[in-house]
Amino acid sequence: MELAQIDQWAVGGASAWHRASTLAKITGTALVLAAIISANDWRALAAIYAAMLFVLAFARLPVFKIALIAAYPALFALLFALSAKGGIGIVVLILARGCTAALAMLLLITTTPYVEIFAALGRVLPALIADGLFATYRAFFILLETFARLVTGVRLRGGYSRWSWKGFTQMAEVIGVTFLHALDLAEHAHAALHLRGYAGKIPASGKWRRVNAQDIFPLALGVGAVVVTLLVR
Amino acid sequence: MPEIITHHKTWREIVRVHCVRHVYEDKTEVNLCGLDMVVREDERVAILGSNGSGKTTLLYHLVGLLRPLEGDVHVFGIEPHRAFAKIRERVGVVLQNVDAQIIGPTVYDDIAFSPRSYGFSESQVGKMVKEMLAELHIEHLQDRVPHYLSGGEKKKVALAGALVFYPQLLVLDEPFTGLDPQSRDELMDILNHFNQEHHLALVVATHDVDLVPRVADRAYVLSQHGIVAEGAPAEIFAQKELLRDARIDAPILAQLLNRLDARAGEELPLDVDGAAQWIRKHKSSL
Amino acid sequence: MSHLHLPDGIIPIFWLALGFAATALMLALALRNAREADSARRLPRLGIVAALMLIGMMAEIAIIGYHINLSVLGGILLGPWLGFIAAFLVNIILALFGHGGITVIGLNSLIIGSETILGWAIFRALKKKLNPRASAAATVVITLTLSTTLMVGIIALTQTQPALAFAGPEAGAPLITFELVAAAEEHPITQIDLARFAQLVYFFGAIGWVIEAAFTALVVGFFARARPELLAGDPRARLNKENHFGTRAD
Repeated sequence: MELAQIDQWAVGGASAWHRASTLAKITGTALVLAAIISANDWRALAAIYAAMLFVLAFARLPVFKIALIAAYPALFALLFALSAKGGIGIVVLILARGCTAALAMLLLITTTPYVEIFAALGRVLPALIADGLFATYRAFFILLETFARLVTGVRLRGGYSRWSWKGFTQMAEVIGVTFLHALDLAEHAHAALHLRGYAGKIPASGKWRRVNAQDIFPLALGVGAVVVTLLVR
Repeated sequence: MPEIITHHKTWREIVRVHCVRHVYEDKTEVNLCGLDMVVREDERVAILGSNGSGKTTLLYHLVGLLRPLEGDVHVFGIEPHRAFAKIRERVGVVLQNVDAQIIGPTVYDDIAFSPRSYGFSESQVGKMVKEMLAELHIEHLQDRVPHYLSGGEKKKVALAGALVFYPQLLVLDEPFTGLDPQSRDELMDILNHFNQEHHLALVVATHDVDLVPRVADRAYVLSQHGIVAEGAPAEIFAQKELLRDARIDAPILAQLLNRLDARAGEELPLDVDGAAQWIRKHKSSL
Repeated sequence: MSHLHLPDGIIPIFWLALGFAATALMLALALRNAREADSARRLPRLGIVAALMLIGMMAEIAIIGYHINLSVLGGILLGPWLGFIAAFLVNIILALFGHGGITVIGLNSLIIGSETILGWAIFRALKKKLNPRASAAATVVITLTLSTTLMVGIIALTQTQPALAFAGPEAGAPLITFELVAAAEEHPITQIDLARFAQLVYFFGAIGWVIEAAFTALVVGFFARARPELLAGDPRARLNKENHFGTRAD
């Protein structure tokens, strides 16, 4: 349920980093990513990674938990490690690049509400896709509640175990019921859109663009990352 | 907001439903024949019926979501399923499932959804939204993300979205279900306030009979036979047979007074003060 | 395993750009073909199925806390075009929290998107011959095999780079030749033994496919009992055209 947890961190935070404008944070993140994919020395990546850990702490976020989520690319790296012909060096580089990039995205998403990021993306994406992001986001939280409730219900009735065939079939049923609930929800959401005058686009506010003093931080991180990558090669 | 209607009650009809029949996909049929349903300007009308009686079906016909196979529905002179867009700003709707109804990413954005979709300028939109936030006392929620709100708060947000154009008719489907008593009272106060101060006619579908006297001037009773009765709440609740047939309980106060031997057909008080008075008056004969 | 997302930083920029271009093209097609008379109808369905694909990934089943891939089911329910868009949406959201790279959203979307499209097409074909559950199981196995092959193919391609050679004006020879040569630059992707990689992916993949097939079959079986019209194949024909909101509302 990482999405739900991440959403709470983003919406509930009040640090300077949180308060920086979405525009600045997206720009900063883009710079960091550019630096990461062109870095070819693991030391540069390590420095960027450490800087971001520091920022997370500064933003009063649970550093270890987030770093753990950012470790997902390690799975892919493992696959590469098992089929690499270039030796340990290449594995380290893959690991470093993947995980540092993931951490950069997590830094963005734990300090910026999804809805603001979607509002920003809405400027460049077609209407259905931009709206689709909002619709998916809302539906996710509504259905998560249904899903969690059903799982609890199954657990309370006893015998739910993910290690057994029974647990497997129960989960399939939970997903099935969640799906049906979802379709009913979709039906009502459709009615609501029709009733409220949906004109083909869900308009969002321009809050994401409002620059402020705190923007200096994410921009500094971005520029710093690029500089480090250029120097340490 | 512009005062389109004059202040005194004009008795002008804004809704008429005449013998509607609807058949769903799964072949279940809903019969809404019997009496015509009529709503006039500034009126507060309740639609009473047990679950499955067709209340939601009736409401959906009013707002053009369903097309009658037989019969007619007219709202503000037009047939909703044909041209709802023409009357959209005059009709507000609050569905049973608030989660489905809230569209915007934040409360502010949700209330702003209709005005923005209509193309109002951002400053006009801002005015309209702020006015709604103030009217419903939810200014403190304006930047919040909807899925973290409580049921009562979500209901208010949905209501704000429905009232943003100051419509003349508000249709609500079981609005009080699942609300705690305080939220329920707040909701009723807001509805009555809008009815009195902003010329808002109400159509409330509910099975909660105890609330009907507080939020309706007239009530229609729905049963499997269609629209079977109409009248002031006090009249309706005095008809024990009718209620039993429609599978509705009379309000608890009415039940109590009936038990205390109230005469059949007598109009019974439906609020606590009225009931207390009645008991004091009839004290000697109890 | 069936949901292996490519991370950032391993694929050369040329292929990243091509991935985005291909996805953009597919999206353009999808947007055109998914058009409906009532535009308010497709948005909720799209959001809901994409949300369910995300929830699927959060649900843990089987020994290693395996996460389910519902993209095939998504394709069956939404059809190929909205299905592809849903895959794209899911990828954006996943990329935003590090489950798959941002720079490779294009490539990842082609892979997951192919699962929705193929899932829809193959299920539709098999459904005529087999019962829903068997069709679903077979569809999943075939679709995931194909999408994994697509992924391996993409990895193989990214080990090369395009080379444009300008030939002299010889008689009969083309002026410009285009060929793919082994990448000259040091990119991590070029340092893997493709055969070995493919072996691993197919081996672990196969285990995953069996689990997925069983799970999807169960869910589809559930639908076949509860709401058979969902599996009818044409998402648009689900409701009576005149009464859009035909579900039993009371």
